Amino acid sequence: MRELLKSKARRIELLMALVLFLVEGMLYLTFRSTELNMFRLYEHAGPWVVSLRSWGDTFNLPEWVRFSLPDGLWLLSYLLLVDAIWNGFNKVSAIWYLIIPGVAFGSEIAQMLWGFTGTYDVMDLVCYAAAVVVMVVIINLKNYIRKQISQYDEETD
Amino acid sequence: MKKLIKTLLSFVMAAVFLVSACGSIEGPEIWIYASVICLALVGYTIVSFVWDRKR
Repeated sequence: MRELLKSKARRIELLMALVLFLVEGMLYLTFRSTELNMFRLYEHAGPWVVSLRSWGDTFNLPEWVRFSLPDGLWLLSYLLLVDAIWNGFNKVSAIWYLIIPGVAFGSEIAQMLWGFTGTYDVMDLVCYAAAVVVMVVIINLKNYIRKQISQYDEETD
Repeated sequence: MKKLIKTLLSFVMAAVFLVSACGSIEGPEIWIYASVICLALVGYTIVSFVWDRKR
């Protein structure tokens, strides 16, 4: 039962990570400036990006959804993938859990303090923090369910 | 999953996410910072393997 949960939880995390990464990518492609580095790759991708952007023009999304939410989704997507791989925070996996959040928070703070490449926005920090909080909740929820199943297994044995 | 596979997968994931982060920023200089972080991660991965084998 525990192994089943482990593989099911892993699959759900992988699926969630993929969906979040795709949504984040679509938000960038649809609503962000074409001066970004990614558009150098996409300029050869054909007319679909142009169609997508003109479709996006019909929406009037709040600024934080266009500029900050994708960053939070990107970070959550990474954390879900790492959790699917390691299945828990420990001494060995810590570096992989922390490296990308460290880069995310670090770059935003560097933008604020030293004018590092990019644009500082406090909402970016809020979205990064929200992603970390959601991940902590998911990890705790998984641990709680695991405990309940262990108790059930012990009682039925 | 074995630790080696997990570490390699994690490295690939971190590299992919770093590249995607560079894509979401203007200007070429960001690639230098990302390359430095990637090299540091390669170093960490190699050192952790050597350390593990020695133990």
